[in-house]
Amino acid sequence: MRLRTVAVLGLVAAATAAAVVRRRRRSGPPAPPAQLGRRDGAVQHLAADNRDLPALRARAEDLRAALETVL
Amino acid sequence: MTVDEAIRDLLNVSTDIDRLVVLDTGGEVLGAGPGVADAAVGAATDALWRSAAEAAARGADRAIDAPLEHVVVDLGDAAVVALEAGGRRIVALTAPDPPLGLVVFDLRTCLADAFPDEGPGGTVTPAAAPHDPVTPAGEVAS
Repeated sequence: MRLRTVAVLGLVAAATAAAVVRRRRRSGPPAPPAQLGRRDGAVQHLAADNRDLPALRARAEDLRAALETVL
Repeated sequence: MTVDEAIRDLLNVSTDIDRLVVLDTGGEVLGAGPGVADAAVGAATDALWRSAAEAAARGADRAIDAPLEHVVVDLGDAAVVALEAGGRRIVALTAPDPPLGLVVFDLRTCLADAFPDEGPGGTVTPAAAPHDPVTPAGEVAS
């Protein structure tokens, strides 16, 4: 009985570990807070502490509100 | 293909895009989906674009002066993506953590499908492969 319990717990632990590994592989690196792309292909990522980010987020929230308004 | 058909096609193939609006240079709505867009989208897009252009001018290398092509802002539970090509803009509201390179490529393709007569010198070119280089924050990837 005790052996069966240990076996079940072992299987659960192995399945959980495998799921965590799969999730990490699938998710990849976290998305940057903001990304600015230029016509020549250059891409600029704004860091979380970038001083322009709050204003950009505020404008993006305004645009989101407008986009979510469906007439 | 009309603007509405291009929008419908994109919404059919993309599970990441929740809402989509195409605008002209004056901010007038040319098409939207699903449903009809609020005219306020034009002014809100323009405000975001100006704010992004200011941020880009401050943060970029002086050698890089190409105009903005797209802006992506992560809002946590969604992302706002705006792209300009051929004198028109397309803006989208996406699901959380979208595949950014693919979404930008899809938006570019949608504009190219809707306005195929921009000519070879136009900036509506969907030929570029999905491109999402990972660079350290604040740096510019070429």
